[in-house]
Parts: sequence; C-alpha cells; structure tokens
Amino acid sequence: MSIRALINEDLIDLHLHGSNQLNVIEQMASMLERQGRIESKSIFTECVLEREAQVTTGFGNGIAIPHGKDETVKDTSISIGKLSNSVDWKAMDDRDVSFVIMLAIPESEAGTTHLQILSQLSGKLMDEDFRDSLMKANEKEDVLNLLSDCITEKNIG
Amino acid sequence: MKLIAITACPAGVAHTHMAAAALESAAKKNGVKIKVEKQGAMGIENQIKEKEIADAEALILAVDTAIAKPERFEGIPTVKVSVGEAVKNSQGLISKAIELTK
Repeated sequence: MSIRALINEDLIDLHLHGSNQLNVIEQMASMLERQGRIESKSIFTECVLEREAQVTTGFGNGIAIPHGKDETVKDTSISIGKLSNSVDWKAMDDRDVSFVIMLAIPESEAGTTHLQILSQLSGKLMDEDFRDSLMKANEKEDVLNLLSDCITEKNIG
Repeated sequence: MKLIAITACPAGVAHTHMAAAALESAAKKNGVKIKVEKQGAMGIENQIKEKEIADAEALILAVDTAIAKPERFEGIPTVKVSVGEAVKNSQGLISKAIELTK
C-alpha cells in the first residue's frame, strides 16, 4: 500500500499563506475538492471546524492535524500546508501553528488500509525527529518520501 | 511495573494513535512496561489480553468516548483523562499511574 494513494504533490502547499485558521482550512479543503476527493469544500470545512470546536488539533510545537470524518469524503486523503506565516490554532501549548496536516476520512469503514496509514502517521507525529524533518522539508518530494518511509516501517503495535 | 492503557477519540484515527504513541514513548523513558489498546476507527487494535489485565498494576484511560468492554478492568487502579491530555502530558500521566501502584 502506497501513501501516494492518499496524497500527491497537488495536495501539498509548502508556501501557504493563510490569514487565519479558517482560511487555512478552506484553502486546504479546496485542494481536496479540486481532486474530487471530497464532495463539498464547505461541508468538509464545517466538519473540520466542528472537530476543532470539541478539542483543538493543534497538539503543540507548531503543528496541527485537523481532520474531518464525513459521508461526503469520497477518498481517504491527506493534505499538507506549510505556512509562510503562522496562525492561532488555540493549540495545546498556545503556540501558533505553521505546519498543518489535514486528514479527510470517509464515514464508511471500507478503506481500512487507508485508515491504518493515517493512524500510523498520527502516531509517528509524536516522534520529534520525524516532526522536525517534516517541518524542514523544502521540496514536495521530500515530504512524500518522509511520509512514505513512516508507513513502511510498520510501526503499528 | 506493568501498566495498561486504552486510547479512544471520536474519529478514532488521529488522537487515538497519537496518544498511544505518546504513552508508549513516555513509559519507555520511565523504564515502565505498558500495553496500549487502541479503540478506533478500525475497531480494537493491540487488544489487552486477560493475562495482561491480571498482571496490570494500573490502568490509564485516555478516552473521549465510551470504551468497549469496560467490565474487563474492574478493581484496577485507574487514571482517567481526555485523549488530548495524554497527547499533551503523557509523562505526567505515566507518573500518576506509577503513583497509583504504590
């Protein structure tokens, strides 16, 4: 199973300029919508914001992992935005966020292998070295390779 | 020292697995054994076995949803927090759980 079924170069923006959290989420949802991975940018954005309202996904160190699980998600997907500025995310450590990994999760449990990849990636984000390399990547290809390495390591317990 | 833990969040993908990884890494740093069961979108992963429940000295529940099969853990000293707390402060949680075993 390749990570490239979930993400590709057009789902990565390494120079994203967003005025605030909502704007960043909308821009990233647009990338997903353009590829037909979600049915509606506005429904998905709404869904991601609802999740943020429960608890922030800004888990510290300048990274956030917003996600939406909805029936309007057609393909399990990841989009990545490296911000040229940083924005408030009500993060757990109160730091502004400059790196965003957004997950689109379908309602049905059909794509279990895809969910497994998202799960592995989420766990891997607790690894400081991995986070640092990801945040420092300047080429889309490097981002894809880092993601791809972390899922082939089979780090699921 | 043997600890067990369960992580679960509403979507069952991101925080469930982030919290599990954070707890495993904090336990390792403290030289403590931990088995973390993840109750997520893929069902129960890394399920805690009966023998492990019998040997467990404390249970950490890092959950934002009702967990499956809670009756398995009756009588085990338990720390219960939100899944976000486990992501943010896994070290503190492991310390609390160790406290409970004393």
